[in-house]
Amino acid sequence: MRIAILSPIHTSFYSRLVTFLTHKEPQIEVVQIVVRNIWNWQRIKSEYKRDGVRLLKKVHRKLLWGENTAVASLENSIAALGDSVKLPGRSLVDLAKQLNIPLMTVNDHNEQQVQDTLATLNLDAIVFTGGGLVRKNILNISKLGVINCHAGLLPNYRGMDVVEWPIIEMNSFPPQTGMTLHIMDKGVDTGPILATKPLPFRPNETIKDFRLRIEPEMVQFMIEGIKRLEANKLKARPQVKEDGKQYFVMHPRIKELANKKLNIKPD
Amino acid sequence: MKSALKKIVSLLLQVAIDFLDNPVTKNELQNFIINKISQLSQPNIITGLPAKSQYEFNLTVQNAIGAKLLSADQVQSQDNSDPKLDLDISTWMAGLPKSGVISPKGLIPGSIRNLLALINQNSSEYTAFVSDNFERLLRHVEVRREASLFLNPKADVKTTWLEKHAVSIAFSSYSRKSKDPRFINAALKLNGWAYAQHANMNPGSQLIRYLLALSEAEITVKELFS
Repeated sequence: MRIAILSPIHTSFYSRLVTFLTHKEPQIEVVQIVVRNIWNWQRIKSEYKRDGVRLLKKVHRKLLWGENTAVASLENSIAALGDSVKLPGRSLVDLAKQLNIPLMTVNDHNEQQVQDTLATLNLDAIVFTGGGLVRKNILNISKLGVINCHAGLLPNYRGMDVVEWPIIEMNSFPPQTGMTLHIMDKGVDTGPILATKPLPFRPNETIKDFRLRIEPEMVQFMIEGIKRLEANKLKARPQVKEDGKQYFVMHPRIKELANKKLNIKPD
Repeated sequence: MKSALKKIVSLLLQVAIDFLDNPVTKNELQNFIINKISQLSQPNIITGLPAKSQYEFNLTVQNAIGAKLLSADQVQSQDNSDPKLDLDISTWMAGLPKSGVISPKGLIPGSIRNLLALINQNSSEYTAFVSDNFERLLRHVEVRREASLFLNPKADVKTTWLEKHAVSIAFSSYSRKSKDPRFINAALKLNGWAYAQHANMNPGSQLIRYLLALSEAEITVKELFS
């Protein structure tokens, strides 16, 4: 199975782990990595317009210090997973060199040069590990499409903050949290579902700790999904628009209520 | 050197985050409601304003009492009747474009009062229409954020703000009706973005409608989350 990886930034732990672990699978070949250039004014402008101050916080955390600093000691973290599999290098550039995988750096995944390059590679699938919207020209290139792991349970929880919204909407603990492997389409998390995996909150677990715990789970789920796709063991199930709703970034006041609600658990 | 540079950039970024990440707090907004109600309750301030503004102010006071921001003995209660307009809903609906009340060109002025009227009518005949239009409005506000809700045709600043506050009020109302928290989420954002413009505003229809938007959000949070 021939796949390409789309990545938002060369230091993304998630992208690096997905690339490394997929490449280790005997039946799967990573033939191209496409990573977005962060030092691009258009990208910075559009992401700031979309995310506001959250973007600066993300940059501060991920770019300057990497996922390592705050979470290296947490045994369930993505950094710990990286340690356990001996993830080499410090960036996708290092990894691509080590594994001899072609890597291209672009301003936008949807650029013509990306389309032209990927179209020549006879791809079975493209694996999305972040980096904004993917447009029709890229969605239609590979045989199986562009695969994404969404940090929420589809079809119910599409969009943003899908760890927090199930808490607000829960009638009883635990909230409906988990992850979904799906094929991307032009909608927001509306593409056909390949697999879902519930991941419940643990008693007394905070939202922050849950988010740290779900990251390595998403890596493993993605790898498992790609292997099953290769073995023809996954069937895509189309979503019906009316089966779910799109959620958006949660206002701090609602987030505060979500945190309060999490602390009230039945015995 | 690299590590020192990283520390400097990190410090600058943190300063920028602290400066920009300064959303108006719940306490600031609640105190704003209380203080403005007190100011506007002074003799002769409200009575000089149009009937619609007087109605909205009285509703704000009722909401503030309901949300326990004020007690009933702190303000003089007023009889409150909505100076309803004569609305022909069917004609209005038939005249809307396919995109509904909101399109890439903007919000159609006056449509929010009709949507609110439809919510209050409680008729199953319009459920799908109301749901569809609120969903479109929600997506528009969430994607465009502070730049959302420009009017088509274009209008003056005051009219635009009045419509924005009407959307916030509608979101709160629809959130209570449908028990969908996404709409109060958007109303809180709209109200927060508007605060800087209204913090030092003189009494008038725009300020009063903003106060109503704030108080509707308070009553909605109380109803949905307690």
